[in-house]
Amino acid sequence: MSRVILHCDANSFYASVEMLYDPSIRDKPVAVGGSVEARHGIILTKNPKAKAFGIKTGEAIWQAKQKCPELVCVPPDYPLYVRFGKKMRRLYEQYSDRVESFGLDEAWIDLTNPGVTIADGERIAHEIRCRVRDELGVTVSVGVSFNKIFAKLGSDMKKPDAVTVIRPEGFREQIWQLPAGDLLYVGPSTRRRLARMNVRTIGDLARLDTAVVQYCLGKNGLLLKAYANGLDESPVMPVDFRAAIKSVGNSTTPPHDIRSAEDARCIYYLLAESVAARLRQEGFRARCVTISARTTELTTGSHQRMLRKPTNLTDEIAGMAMQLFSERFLQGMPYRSVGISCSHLTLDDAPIQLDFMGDEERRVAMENMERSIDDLRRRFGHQVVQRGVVLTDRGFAEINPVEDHTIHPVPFFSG
Amino acid sequence: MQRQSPCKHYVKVRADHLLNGHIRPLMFRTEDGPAVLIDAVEDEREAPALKAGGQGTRYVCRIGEQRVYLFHDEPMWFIEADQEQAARLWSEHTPEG
Repeated sequence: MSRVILHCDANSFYASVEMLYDPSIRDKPVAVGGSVEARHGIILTKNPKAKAFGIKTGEAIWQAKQKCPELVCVPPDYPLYVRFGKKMRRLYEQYSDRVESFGLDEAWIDLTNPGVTIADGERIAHEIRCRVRDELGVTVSVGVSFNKIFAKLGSDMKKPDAVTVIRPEGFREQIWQLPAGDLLYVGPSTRRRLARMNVRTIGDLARLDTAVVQYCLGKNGLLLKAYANGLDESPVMPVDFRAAIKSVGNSTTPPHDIRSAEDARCIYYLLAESVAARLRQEGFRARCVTISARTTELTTGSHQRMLRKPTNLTDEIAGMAMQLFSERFLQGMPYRSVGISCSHLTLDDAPIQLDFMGDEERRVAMENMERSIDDLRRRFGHQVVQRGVVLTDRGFAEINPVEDHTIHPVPFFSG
Repeated sequence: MQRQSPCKHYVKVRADHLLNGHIRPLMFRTEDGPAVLIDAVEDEREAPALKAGGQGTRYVCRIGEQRVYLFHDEPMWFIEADQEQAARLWSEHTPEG
C-alpha cells in the first residue's frame, strides 16, 4: 500500500500572523525581527513585499533597512505564534491522528489508509489549503507525496497558497534536477562536501555509488542517498507521541559580551537555574554537563564532563560549567553567547549510591529549597526570587531564561 | 495581550456554555459601557477578522436591525465594527432596566 503524506508549510508564518493581527501593515514590506537593544536584531521572517527588496532571513535589521528604508520591522510575539500554530494543528487533526509538527509552522499529515490514493491526497490538500486561508486567515503551501522527504520538498516548490504533488512514477523527472541542498538534512556543510565530489543535484546524489557515499559521508550519506531515491520509510508520528527527552539545555545571547569570569559566572548561573528547574519539572537528574560558547567572530566551541553523581541542582551544574569554562576557554576573550546542556539523564526517583564522604543530607535540603523556589516562581513570576550573583550585572538580571526559551524545530530523527 | 485597531472593540461577554461544548453568547459590553443584548446568533464559524485584525470563532449576532461580528479569540472577545457602527450599537441597544 503506497503511503499518502502531506507536508503543510505556513507561508512567512510570523509575518503573516502579524499582518493578520494588524491590518495597517498589510500592504507594506514587513519583517519580524528580534530586539536590536538585546542584540537579537536579526530578521526572523519577512513577507513577499520585503523579500522583493532582497531582504534575507538571518541578516541584521540595519542591513535590511538599508535595502528597504520603509521596511516595517515588528518584534516577535512568540506566545501568539504558538497559539496560532496550535489552531493550525487542530485543523490538521480533523483529517488524521498522525500529525507530526516540525516547528511552529510546519506539519506532516499521514492520510495512508486502504483505498486512499495520491489523488485523494491532492484533493484533501486543496481542502486544507482553502480552509486554512478561509478560517485562519493565513496561507499554506502543501506537498503531497508517498514519503515525508518528498512531501516536504513539494511544499517548498510553489509558494504561496499552493499544492504540489510528487508521485511515485514521476519523481525522478520532477525533483532530480533540483539542487542537492534542497533535500532535507543537506545543510551548507554537506552541500560543500557534495560539491567537491561534483554532486550538485538530487539526481547526482541518487545515482552516486553506495560505497563512495558511505566512504565520503558515512551512514548519514547512505540515508541521504535513500531519500534522493524516494526510499524514506520514516513514519509520521501520532498526535500524542512524545519523544524521549535525552538532554535539557538553554543558551542565550546576553545584552553585552561576556568578557570576564564574573560575567561568565553570572550567565552560567542564570542558565543553570533554568536547566535545573526543567530537569526537576521533567523528573530527571543529569550526569553530564556540556557548555558552549560563541565568540564575537561567531565561532563556537563546546566541552563536556561527567559529574560524580546525577544532579538537578543549580550549584552543581553551574559549578561544573564554570570549571569547564575556566579550563577550556580563553580567559579575557569576549564571548557573544553561551549555553549549558545536561544529558545522560536518569529518573529522579532512582536510587542514589551513597558514600561515606558524601553530603546527601545537604543535597536533599538544597533540592527541597530549589523546588520551593520553583513553586514561588510558578505562582509569582520568575523575578520573584533571584540569586545574588545575577544581580551583580543589571543587564544580565533582566534575562529570563525560562520565558525567553525559544522553541526550535523538533529534530527530524526524534522518533 | 490585547492588539488594538480602530475597528476592534474588546468586550466582556455573558454566554451560555452548552452541553455539546458550544458557547452561545447572550450579551456583551465594553469595560465601562452599556450592555448590548444579542437577539439571535445566526452563524458560528472559525474566521479571520479582516477589518479588526485577529482570528477566532466568529458569531454573527443579530441585534435589532444590525448584524455584528463577535469574535472569540481565546481567551478574549471583541466585536468588529467601525466607529459609526459601534456608536449606534451602544446608543440604540441598551436593554431596559
